[in-house]
Amino acid sequence: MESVLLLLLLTLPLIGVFFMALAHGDERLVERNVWHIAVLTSGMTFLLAFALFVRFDPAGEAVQFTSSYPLMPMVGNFVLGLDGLSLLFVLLTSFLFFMAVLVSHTQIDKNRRTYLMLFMLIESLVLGAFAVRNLLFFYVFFEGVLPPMFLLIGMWGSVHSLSAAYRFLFFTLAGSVLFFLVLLILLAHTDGNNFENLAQMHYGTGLQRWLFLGIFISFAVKLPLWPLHVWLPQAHVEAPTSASMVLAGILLKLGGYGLIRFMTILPEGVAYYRPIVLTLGFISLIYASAVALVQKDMKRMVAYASVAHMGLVVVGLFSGHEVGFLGAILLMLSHGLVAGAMFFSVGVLYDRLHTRDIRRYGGLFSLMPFFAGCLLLYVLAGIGLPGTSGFAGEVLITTGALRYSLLTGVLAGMGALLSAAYLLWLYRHLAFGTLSKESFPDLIGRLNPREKLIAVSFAFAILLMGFQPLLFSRPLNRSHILPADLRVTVPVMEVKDAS
Amino acid sequence: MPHNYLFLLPECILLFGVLTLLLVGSFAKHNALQIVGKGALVLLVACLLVAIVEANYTLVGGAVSSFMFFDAFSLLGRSAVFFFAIPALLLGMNWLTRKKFNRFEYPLLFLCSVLGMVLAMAASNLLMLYLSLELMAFPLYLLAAYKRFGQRSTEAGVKYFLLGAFMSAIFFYGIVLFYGVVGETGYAAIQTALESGTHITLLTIAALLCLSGLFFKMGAAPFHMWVPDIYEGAPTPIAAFFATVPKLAIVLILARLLLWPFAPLFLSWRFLIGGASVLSLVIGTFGAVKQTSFKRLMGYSAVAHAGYILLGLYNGDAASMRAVSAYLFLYLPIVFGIFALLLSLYKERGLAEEITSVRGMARSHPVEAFLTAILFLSLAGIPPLSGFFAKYYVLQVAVEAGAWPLVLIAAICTVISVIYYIRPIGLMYFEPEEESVAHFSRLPYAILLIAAVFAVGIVWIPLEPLWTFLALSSQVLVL
Repeated sequence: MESVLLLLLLTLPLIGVFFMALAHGDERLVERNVWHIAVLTSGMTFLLAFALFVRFDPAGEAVQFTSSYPLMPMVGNFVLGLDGLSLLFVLLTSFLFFMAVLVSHTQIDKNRRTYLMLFMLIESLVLGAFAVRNLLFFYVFFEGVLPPMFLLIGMWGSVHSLSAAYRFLFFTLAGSVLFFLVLLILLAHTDGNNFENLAQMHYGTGLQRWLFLGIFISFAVKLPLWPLHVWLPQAHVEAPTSASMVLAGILLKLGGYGLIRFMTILPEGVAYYRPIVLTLGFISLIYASAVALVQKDMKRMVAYASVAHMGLVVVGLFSGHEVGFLGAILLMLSHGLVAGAMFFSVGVLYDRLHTRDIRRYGGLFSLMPFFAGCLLLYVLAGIGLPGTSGFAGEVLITTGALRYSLLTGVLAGMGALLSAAYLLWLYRHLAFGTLSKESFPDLIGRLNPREKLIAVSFAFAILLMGFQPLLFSRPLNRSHILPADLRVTVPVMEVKDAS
Repeated sequence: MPHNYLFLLPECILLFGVLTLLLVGSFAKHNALQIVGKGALVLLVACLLVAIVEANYTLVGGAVSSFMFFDAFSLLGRSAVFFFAIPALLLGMNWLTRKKFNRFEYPLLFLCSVLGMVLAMAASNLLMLYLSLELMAFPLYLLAAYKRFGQRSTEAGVKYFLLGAFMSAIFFYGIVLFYGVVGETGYAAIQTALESGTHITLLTIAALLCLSGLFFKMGAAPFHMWVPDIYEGAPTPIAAFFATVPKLAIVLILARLLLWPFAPLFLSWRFLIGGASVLSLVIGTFGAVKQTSFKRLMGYSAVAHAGYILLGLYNGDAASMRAVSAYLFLYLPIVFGIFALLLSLYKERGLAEEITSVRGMARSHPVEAFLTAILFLSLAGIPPLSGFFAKYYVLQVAVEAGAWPLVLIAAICTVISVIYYIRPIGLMYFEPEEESVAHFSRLPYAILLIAAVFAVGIVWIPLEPLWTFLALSSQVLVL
């Protein structure tokens, strides 16, 4: 069915950019107005995404809300459509961007208009990346996000933001080159470049293996996976809070999403490289967890936690069983929420004391009880406590890994446990213990209403996903996202409606 | 067939217009430049309109005489040259007016060069091609030395002249060899002679010499040495002209040569094109990395882009032509935009040329800085801008031709090129508050705006006439 809803979804942030460009007058007035416009725009985008989520029919066609727009001849049609996977990510994206815009009220003091314009532009590009059905346009949006993000990190970041920005740009670009090459070669062998067309082609085994190697390296930079993760800690730490939320919450997921799409196109490559990829995933998980344990900078710790979680996601994707695959998707969603919430929390603290050093904090539970309670929830979700969003993902990935082999199952379970080590350590130092400075109570105030709203929203989302994971896995039922060689042992994807 | 001569109408308009303007300019007192400049603009617009109207007519046979041939390709190429000459002339006139440089020769030299280009487009005889290319080149040598009391400009002119004359001699030697073997210099005769296979070594060498001459004019390696020096030495609006219109003309002429007379030598010239492409890419990209002067940067960038264009010609079929036409059409406006920026950066006396002169532009001129950033990103080939799609077309055609090592090198060069294209953007946005030296007058600002809008919009807004143009331009193959 033809539907202009997706085009509307993509252009809503751009309309916001247009209105922000029109704002003029006294500087303070402009700053306030553009923030209101941004909140309104991202809020409406989220509402639209939510409406799409509700209207998506899990028992209907695989791809819904399709529309097609002809462009330049050699480029093909600009085809938009959502299947279960993209639907979930579109929802996550719009939610996180809305939260991030709310967060940016305090962090960005100079040139707020430029910041929010770039921010909305990035939102439009990321939504586009998830909504297109064309491999070429996915690449276009995948890479198009880089320059605005580069500007965000460089201009509004903290002390070493320039080198972080350049490193981010060049690392990810170098990875994208491989993606581009693989794309060109794939398109030379195929007629159309829709995901469906590409998935139905049977490429030669040798070709598939080489292509998969190229594309895997490209996504390994984005995800990121050890040893190509080196751009991430610096980029996350130096970026302003709202940019970190988006970077960790969404941009990393672009890598995971792309990997899933390519797994259906290159099944031989997947099977051939599976052991290597699993190894890298485990190394990433364990190494990043170990490094996170010794961090003194809060943001750096959360950054390494992201690397660790993405390692676990990769393990789930490549576990070879549908269970692990589903778990990986759920973990990606959960991690988006958790990373966003954690960076928000760090931002709240940074706003008050202007330091990210963990040792400077302590006893927050008595100063900011509500905040400490929400932070506890986020930390537990990061660990994967049942009832929070992280549980479904981690347990399914561990099950999938266990079905692959005993060793991988044990490693996956252990890795999931490692996050408990550093996250609980962080929480203990932040929330419990004695106050470290007498002047503390003067500087640290309680959450203001805006921050309360954000905290509650994250908490609600985490709990919702924790108690109703089916709500999020049901849209995946009919989506053709599984690689051909996946063994279906437990038909988790086809959930019969209980009622 | 007398009515075919109507196809020469734009050339005649141009020729007689130039002679008239020469007389007018010689006798006008103070505002010679204004009169001649406006007259030149009117001429160009008139020629463009006539060329567009004529492009709608297909010609039976096509030959006007034994040495000119008007088919869809040459008619459209001619229109494209006229079209892109207009902003170049506008930029030059704007600059000269502001500098109060009251010599009126600039528009005339400009028009003579354009006349040479359009005559070369329609040539179907190597001698005609040679004469037209000389008519194109001589005004360019003079234009490079236009600021004749300045040391750099004179040096640029002399360099360009010496190298150009040398390469013209080489080109002519190739023609001489063709004449010696074939007895004629017409394209059809040469194609027949190459197909027959007699004296093929000698003929291949002759073709090599001719192609070398064209590579020089295009700025492709290994004949690229003049490009950075001449771009730097020539006055900026003239460098803008060098970077755009002659390049367009030469590429189209090269395509015509490769696909008509030299078509039987496909396997040989394919190897040549591939080699020149790789050399241009590597030399252009790596040469640009350490540059601190904007104009030299654009020079090396031009060499690199010549590499991409040559890569597009690798396969030599209709799809290749479409890709190359698309690349030129998407790339030229960006160059205009960047030179519009260069014409707006000042220092104490004259234009500032260092890359660092854009420092802090994001604070003082936010809109212009944003437009400039779009243009540089488009040059670098970052999606979703037009420059990416231009590179995508070219590389897609090359991959289909099986040249994936070349594509690999091109992709690596694209990433490396981001280093030097991101540098001005970083300087504009990240450097602390500083007195910005930019000052945009109306015309450069307009060109910058149009170029940036083009860079973003051309891909995402469906435009039928453009695609018809591109489809038609693929009809290079004669008969």
